[in-house]
Amino acid sequence: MADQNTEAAAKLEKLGAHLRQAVAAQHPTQERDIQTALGAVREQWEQEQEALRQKKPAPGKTPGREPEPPEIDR
Amino acid sequence: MDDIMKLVRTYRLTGALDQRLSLADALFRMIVPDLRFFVFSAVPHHAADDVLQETLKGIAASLKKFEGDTKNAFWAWCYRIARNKTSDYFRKEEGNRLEIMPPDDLLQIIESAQPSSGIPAQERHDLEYAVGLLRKAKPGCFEFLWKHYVIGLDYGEIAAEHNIQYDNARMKITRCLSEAQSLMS
Repeated sequence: MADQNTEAAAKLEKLGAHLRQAVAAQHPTQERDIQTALGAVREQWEQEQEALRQKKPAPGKTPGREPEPPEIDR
Repeated sequence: MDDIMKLVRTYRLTGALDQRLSLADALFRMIVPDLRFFVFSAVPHHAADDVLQETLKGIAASLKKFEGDTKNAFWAWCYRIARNKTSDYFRKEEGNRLEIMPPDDLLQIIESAQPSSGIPAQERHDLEYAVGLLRKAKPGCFEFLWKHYVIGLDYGEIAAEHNIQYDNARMKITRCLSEAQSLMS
């Protein structure tokens, strides 16, 4: 039974390979597909840059320095 | 290391936009054909291009966050995004899922893309047998056999999709295949 299963599995996989080839032949990868992905990469990169800009301290402030505590009246 | 994983790992470490674009270009040219096949077998053909575009956007936008280390984990992650996009499509557009590639049409799909020489006789015999198995499979089994053997999803991906244990998915697929075979003889 195991051997028969293996043989049947191989035939189903062969069917998958043929179908994959057929779909690839009828619908080849288009430049539009790649450009869509690259557009999303660019957008993601811009969001990261914006997040980095917002993390940077405002000019004139010393990075990492805690604000001074208020003076205590004596 | 596999080419796909080399590209994915390098992409994760790369900050410069031009380098990311170049890596993504190479990566997507490698993965689009399999993603297209997955999407074309899951949604009606008139909608497949749009669903594919959404899938590609989803993968590209979160590629930096992908944490897996193997090609299998990467494909499972890609297919999960594709599945979410096909579910979005069915939620928005249609109430019922259709059988997108009915067994009776499979050989015709293959033949229509073949050169005029056609499929060799032995090969055709094997393909007819495979189509016969899918025809004979019980309704609950067709989907498991189709996803595992034809689309190429592994047991783990199918288990996650159906919310069952890995071993249950493996046993179910083995049982479905045996049953379909016994109905063929």
